[in-house]
Amino acid sequence: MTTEAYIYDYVRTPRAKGKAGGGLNTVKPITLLAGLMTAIQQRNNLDTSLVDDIVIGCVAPVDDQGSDIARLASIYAGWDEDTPGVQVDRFCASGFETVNTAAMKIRSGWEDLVVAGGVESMSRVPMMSSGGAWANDPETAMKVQYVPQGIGADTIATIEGFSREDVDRFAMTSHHRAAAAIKAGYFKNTIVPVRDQNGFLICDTDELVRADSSMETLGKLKASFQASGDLGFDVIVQNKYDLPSINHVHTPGNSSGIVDGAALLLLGSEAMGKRLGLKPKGRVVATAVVGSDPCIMLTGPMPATRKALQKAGLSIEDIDLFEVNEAFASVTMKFAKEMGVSFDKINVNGGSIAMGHPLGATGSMLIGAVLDELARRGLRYGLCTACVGAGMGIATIVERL
Amino acid sequence: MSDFIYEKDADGIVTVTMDIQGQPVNTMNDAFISGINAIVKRLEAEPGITGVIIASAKSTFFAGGDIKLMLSASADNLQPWKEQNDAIKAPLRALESLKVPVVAAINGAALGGGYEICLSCHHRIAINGDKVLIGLPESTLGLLPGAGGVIRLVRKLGLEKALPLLLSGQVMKSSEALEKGLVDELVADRDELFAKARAWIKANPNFVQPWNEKGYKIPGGTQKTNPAIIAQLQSYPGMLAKQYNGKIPPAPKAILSSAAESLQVDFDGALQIETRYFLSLIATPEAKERMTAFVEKRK
Repeated sequence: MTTEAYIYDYVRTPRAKGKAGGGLNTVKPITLLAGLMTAIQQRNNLDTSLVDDIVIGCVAPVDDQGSDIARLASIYAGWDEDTPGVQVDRFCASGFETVNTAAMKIRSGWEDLVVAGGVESMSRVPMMSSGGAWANDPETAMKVQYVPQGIGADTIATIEGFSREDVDRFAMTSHHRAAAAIKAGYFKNTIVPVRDQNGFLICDTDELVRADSSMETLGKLKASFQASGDLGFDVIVQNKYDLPSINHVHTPGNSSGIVDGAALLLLGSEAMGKRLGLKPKGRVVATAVVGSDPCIMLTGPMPATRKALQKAGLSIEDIDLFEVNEAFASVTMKFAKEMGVSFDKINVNGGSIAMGHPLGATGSMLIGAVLDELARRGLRYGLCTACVGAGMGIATIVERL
Repeated sequence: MSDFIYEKDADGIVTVTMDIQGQPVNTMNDAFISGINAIVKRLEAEPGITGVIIASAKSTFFAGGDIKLMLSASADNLQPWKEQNDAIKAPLRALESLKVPVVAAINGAALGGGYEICLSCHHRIAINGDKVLIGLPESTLGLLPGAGGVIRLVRKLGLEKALPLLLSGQVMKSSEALEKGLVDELVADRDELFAKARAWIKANPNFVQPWNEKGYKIPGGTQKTNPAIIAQLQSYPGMLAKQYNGKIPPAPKAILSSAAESLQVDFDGALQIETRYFLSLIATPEAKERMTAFVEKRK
């Protein structure tokens, strides 16, 4: 008999502007992550020696974030030295991958208590810091038809006929929803304020959210990927998808924000939860990860969702709430259109356009957020999904308990 | 009598002379804090200003923090100390960001907070003499230079040269300070001090503090730009363990940590990091013991 993988707790840091002057720029990524470990330990009165593994997503595991930050943060936080840790990189899916891996460890029966999560200090270790052949080695780039992600997002918008106004409206809604959720205090129980070594508050609120976001202000922003398109990358997608032109609709305003942040979930078997006196928030019903067209790159959420639904024996109608990572507006809009899901069910408290996308942590944040919202609304199933670099998709289905 | 004497000459050069009343030396007490804040606001608003000279009316330039006051710090209530630190850092940051050249005219010892004021100036001229002592001795009191001293010394000299000075708290006479780069010019006496200060201001009318310049790079680089910095940062925990026989006290830990972390963020972020480490030290038993010994020795 399979052991269910239960989710017992979820915490995250605020998401702060990922640049100098941002609320968490002066905090090292190891400190961000260790702070959450302390919070998880204290909230659950956790004997950390019982944790079988700590699985942490981090997409730029170099410099401040290098050398297996999962293990380092654990010993930094004073967790039991017998508890190991591993850092995982599956690009923007990393924070999903860690939860999914934790669920697999538990469902296999080989581990009983696993901490999953992610961290990314994008202000300190910028995107693409780990290099790699994909974009940096021309022979590889030409062979695999690499184009910058934003070109892929603009290509999706072009193919689907999403106008600049469409994607801006989507972005504005993300901000308004996030602002309303913050105002209503929906994130209060899960955000752990970041404090310094003396206990003084450093940051306790998501910084990017703009309650006054408007079509007018969004409309003023310049297209981010026009230049790289004009440079020549447009030709690659035009030839591949037979498009006369590319409509460059994505701007910093309707793409995910660059932020610093971290998240952690505590997963375990039912037996371990009972032993520790923990009440489950939910269970992981199914997970899926797929490869997809690496050139357009961002269409993985749909096949990943179908695969996860099939494994779960559920249909798309069974899902009450969705979190579809807002890497770019067109990605989430394409998901809604292709899967026939109403926006009333998708990213109901805003997404990465409003709050930011700390690459290694976002997936964990979405899974935690959907569980909280299912509980608030008294609903059952949530599905979280994201597009992933180099053409992949990932999904996690949870059931609230 | 005033704590700060403010005089503007015909050339538009303002000389600010520190003379904290009721004590033989200038220290970073409440009178200093309210005075320096007011002076910097006045300098920012002063029309026709061409430069600033920061000077002292005492036989020394500035003695540093008010140790007696700091002995009252309690770990349970660091809030007033945070506010005080902010109220010192902010005017010094504004001073170095003035649009005119700012010179420290160092007539006598400039130690600790006193030298941190000098670091917030654009140019440091000191009288050559055995009593003109320069340095940041905070580590010998179980503290770190919390008024921007860690951040500015590292950005002025680079990590490799700054760290040994910060960790040892070495105090030196002005001629050695010139060799080490802590002061920029030596003069024979008070008259020459002000003549040279005026001359430097006139020669550098548009001077900008190096770390306020766009594209400024820290001398010797950072963890990201120079592998030698990483090699040094990897060595220090071992070297300190040896020096302190395995029990590294809080101050050297905080100095090493704040200096290392200061390289990874911008200037204002670095100042915040320094404040946090400074506050973590002021109420430690080690600092209390060393500050008490210092006060008793001075009696």
